[in-house]
Amino acid sequence: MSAAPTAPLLRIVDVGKVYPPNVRALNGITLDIRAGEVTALLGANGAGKSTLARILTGVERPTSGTLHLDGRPIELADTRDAHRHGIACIYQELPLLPNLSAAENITLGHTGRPFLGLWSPQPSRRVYAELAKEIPDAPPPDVLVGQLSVAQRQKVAFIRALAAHPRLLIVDEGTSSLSLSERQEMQSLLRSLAHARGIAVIYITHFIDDALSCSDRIVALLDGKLALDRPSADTARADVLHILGGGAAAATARAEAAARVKPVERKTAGSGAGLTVTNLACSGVAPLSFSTGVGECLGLYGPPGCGATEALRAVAGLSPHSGRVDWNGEVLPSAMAQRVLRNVVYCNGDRAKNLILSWTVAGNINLLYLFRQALLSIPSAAAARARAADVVSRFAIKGTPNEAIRNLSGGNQQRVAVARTVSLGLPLLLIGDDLTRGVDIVGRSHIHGLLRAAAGQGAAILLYSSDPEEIANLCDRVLVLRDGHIVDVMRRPNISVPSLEAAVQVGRRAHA
Amino acid sequence: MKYAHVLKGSCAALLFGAAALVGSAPASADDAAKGAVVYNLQPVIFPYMAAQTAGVEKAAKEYGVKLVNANANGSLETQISQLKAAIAAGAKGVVIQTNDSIGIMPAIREAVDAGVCVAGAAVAIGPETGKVYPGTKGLAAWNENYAAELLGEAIAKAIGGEGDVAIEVGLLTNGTSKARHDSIQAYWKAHYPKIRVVAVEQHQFNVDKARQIALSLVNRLGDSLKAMYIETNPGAISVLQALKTTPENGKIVIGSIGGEKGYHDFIRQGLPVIDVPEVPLSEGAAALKMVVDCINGNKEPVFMAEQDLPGLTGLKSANYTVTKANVNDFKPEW
Amino acid sequence: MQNKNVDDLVRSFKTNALRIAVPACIVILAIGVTFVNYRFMSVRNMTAILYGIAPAGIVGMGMALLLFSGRFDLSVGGIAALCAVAGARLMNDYGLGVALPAVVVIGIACGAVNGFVIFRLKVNSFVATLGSGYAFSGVAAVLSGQSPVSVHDLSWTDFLNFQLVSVPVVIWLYGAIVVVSLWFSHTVAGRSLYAVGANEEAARYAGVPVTLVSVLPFLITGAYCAVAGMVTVGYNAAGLATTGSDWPLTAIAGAVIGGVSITGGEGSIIAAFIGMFLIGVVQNALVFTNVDTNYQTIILGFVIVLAVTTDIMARKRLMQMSGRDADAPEAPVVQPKSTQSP
Repeated sequence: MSAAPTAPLLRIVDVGKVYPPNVRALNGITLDIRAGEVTALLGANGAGKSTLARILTGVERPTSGTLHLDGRPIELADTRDAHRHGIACIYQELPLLPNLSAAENITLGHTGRPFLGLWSPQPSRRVYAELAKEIPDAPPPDVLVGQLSVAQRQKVAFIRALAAHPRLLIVDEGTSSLSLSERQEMQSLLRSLAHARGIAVIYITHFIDDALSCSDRIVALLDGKLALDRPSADTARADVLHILGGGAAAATARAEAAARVKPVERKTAGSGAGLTVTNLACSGVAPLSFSTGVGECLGLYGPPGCGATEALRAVAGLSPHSGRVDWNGEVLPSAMAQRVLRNVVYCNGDRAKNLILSWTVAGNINLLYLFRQALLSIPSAAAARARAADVVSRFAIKGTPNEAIRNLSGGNQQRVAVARTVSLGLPLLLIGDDLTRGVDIVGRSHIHGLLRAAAGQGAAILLYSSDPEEIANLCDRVLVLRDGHIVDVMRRPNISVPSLEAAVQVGRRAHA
Repeated sequence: MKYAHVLKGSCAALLFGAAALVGSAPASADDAAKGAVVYNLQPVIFPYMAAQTAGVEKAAKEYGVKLVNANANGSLETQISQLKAAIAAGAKGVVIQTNDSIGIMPAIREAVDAGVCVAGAAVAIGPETGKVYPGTKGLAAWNENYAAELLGEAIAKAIGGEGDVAIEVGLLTNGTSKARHDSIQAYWKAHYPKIRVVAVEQHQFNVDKARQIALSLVNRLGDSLKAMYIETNPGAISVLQALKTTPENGKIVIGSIGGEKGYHDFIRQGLPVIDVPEVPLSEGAAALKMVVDCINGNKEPVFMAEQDLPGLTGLKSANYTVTKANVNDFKPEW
Repeated sequence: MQNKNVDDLVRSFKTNALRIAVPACIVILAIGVTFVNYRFMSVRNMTAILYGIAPAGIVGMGMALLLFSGRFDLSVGGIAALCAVAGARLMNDYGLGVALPAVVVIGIACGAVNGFVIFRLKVNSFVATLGSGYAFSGVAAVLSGQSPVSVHDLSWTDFLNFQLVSVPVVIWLYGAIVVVSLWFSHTVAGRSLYAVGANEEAARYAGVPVTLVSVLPFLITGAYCAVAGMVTVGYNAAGLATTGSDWPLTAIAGAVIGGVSITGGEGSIIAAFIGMFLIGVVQNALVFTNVDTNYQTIILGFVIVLAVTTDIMARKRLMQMSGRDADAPEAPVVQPKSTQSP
């Protein structure tokens, strides 16, 4: 698809953003956004794509450069200004109100009603019904958003954005928690909005293949600068990958970091070693039985709502369950703290839940070791310092132990969570619940490296991921789940993205 | 002079009270009050009110009255609704220690109009201290102006009529606190111009605050502080205990109004402590008796001034003031 | 790298400046008052301040531990009242040797009741302790027979007032409570309170037995309430059912003025102690300067609001100045390039 020969809807001219004191988040970005086109915006975490989105939606103002809409310069003082100019945005974190209905959610903020005007459900239902026609399988207007699946919520967010009749629609990583088929469905929607309705769409994503397949144009940022701006048809996957990986310098650094992860001698386990789950049942999970051994990476995969997360949380001791969980020949006590003491450790993909972001790197590392000491003893500061320094250097974490962990990039934060777990030593069951959600490919590859090394040394790894590629990369064996049931079991080397997707589809049919 | 005026009023009240006592001894009461329902409305559960209730209960037993006790937990609204409930329940009489002497007035008027015999205890109904509220049967209480003047006189004597003094009242928004505060200040101004009030603090009826404020005052003023008037005996007790840790212990005259046992213990220890006692048991009994008289047909209003209640008559020669000289002549009622 | 460190320094200075703003103002006020009346800054007056705040301050130490964990206890007044009344009765009937340990057991039991309601019945700590506080003071009122339980034997009073190295024993007792709390806050259990307060979910993932460690400060606070209640029995030579009615507010305010975060996860025992002491200083200073008592209440209320406000401002500044989460849509990206993924 070639670019339409029209004048650009939005011209971004030499836009820069400097945060005090002198952090250059964006540097001289010049870019045209055309109506009727899907522009994919790619970049590693911190490359500046979120900053650019915030400037375009009026959340922030650029420190230099100008924006031109229809050839006229515009100033976006706040989000209302952006709305007035027909710019709408769908954020990855889905700021919808779970206690309101789908229809009520879309009329919040931009209905044109007077501030003190009386509220009535009718107009929002009408507007919703009108817009929902364009979205396949849109949820009914009166259902509470809190009860919807992630994919359906995404649709409500779309309808909400369309209610403002946007000329420019920015979709920020809208697909990170969707399954492949749901992502494809959404991408075809994006294309139809652009091509049929003439909306300019900016699609911000981590997924290169998604970007290549659905966009008309690829724009990639590297360290706040424009690194690539090319029609998608003329763009090679490898070029984008190189930019996302942070360029040549980063590739070298990555190799060095990988080399610094010290190998540890692999221990052999006795009989009964590993995890045996018998008739585990809890809310959303039918009785499940499975086991995993030393050095194996067992994956759970399925569409959102398949019960994988629930099963992981039950094994971790986070939620009550029936059935039996044996670890190294011992029935695990029900309390999570007791399981953690036996090196059964849960890591969540949500870093804000996994880590105490207001604490230092060292504090977060040592927190996992806190209750390995007597309740009323005073933990040794020297030992804690040494441990933190050891974990930071051994697992090649970017940052110093005494740095606030929120200063680290998202991928690095998650690395701390995984590294401190692996540092516990063997035996170890690491339970990863969509560990790399929202992490860029560099961070992702680091974490994958850590997990592989841990498994290589004899840790058992139990993993759920919303990304089939991650499952395919890491897992020796995969249980495909649907509605809390195991519908398929796959083994290496038969695990691949297409085979996983196919298994989910087959499973769906088999289950239905 | 105000003092003389008050004394005159009290004498008149004494006559009324004596007449009432003679006029309706239990033997001569007709049977209208027997079995009648009388409500005893108290503002909160507090030791003083408990003693008063005990007095009401004792008298109720004596006269064969059916008593219903209620406490308003410090809420005027609750007390009003309790009063209305009493009317609705067909109560013949009400003994009330009001929570808010002004705010309760409309509800009292309603009760009087409904023919209920109302008597106040300890706290006057309406804006004026020591006055029977029009239409009600009577009141057994101190005229707070008078009580404060008695205390002012005793404190002045104890410090030789001159020097710096401090005042710790409960809350100046409270009618009783304000009447006592205003009167003691006015009395000193009129009779002892050399007494200088150097601080007026409010402890909000909280003994911790009373103690902290007193210690701060003592540290601020040092030797120059001669006396403190501290409202409520429990507040004064906590202050006296705290003063034990200071070099000023036993040097500062403490005056209060209350009649509580524990406070009188300090007087017994020989400390310069003065009390103008209250007698809640006698108050309660007197108020209930007024109600019984009223139910039996005697609607004449009665003011039983505190000093004329049986528990206090023995202190007449001492100006109704307890000091270490006469501490054994008085039997505390709470 | 250099810039970043300078930035860090500036940031931490600005944040800390906010945190100590209220205490600093109070210290300046205190110095001013000293010029008005030299007696203010005397050892005697400072001792008197400590003497005055000791009971609420003892409770405040427990409250600080609770605040670290992101919770608080509004029933401290009720527990103290119950312990004061029960303690006074037990002292009269069985003597101090029985009364003191028994009252501590009662206090801990009250804390356990709070813990049960909050962690087993899953009622939030605000509602649970507000309710239980009423219940405890109700029991105290019943036990007291609605009148002060006077203590016959004044040896406990005399003991608390006994001048040990020219300081009353009660202040040594307060000091001991501060030291014990300080020690506890540094143990594994104490450290984990901060984790629970900062991010309960993360603490759970890291193997902190969240319920166990969260119940502990309720039990400790119960024990401290018992001690504080007994102190008031000494002070008043009686057990009063009205003991401690304003302690919940005073204890929380003291901790917050000292810089303990009201939202949990941050603060120290020393800060809470200093904050409580400063409340005493303000009350004392207002009496020294003969400020109308109605204004005293206004000023104290203002100081509390100011302290909470600066706490929130400091927290916000910390969020803004230090690294913002790179992926969060609302917060700007200020990752210095040097710490980025290469």
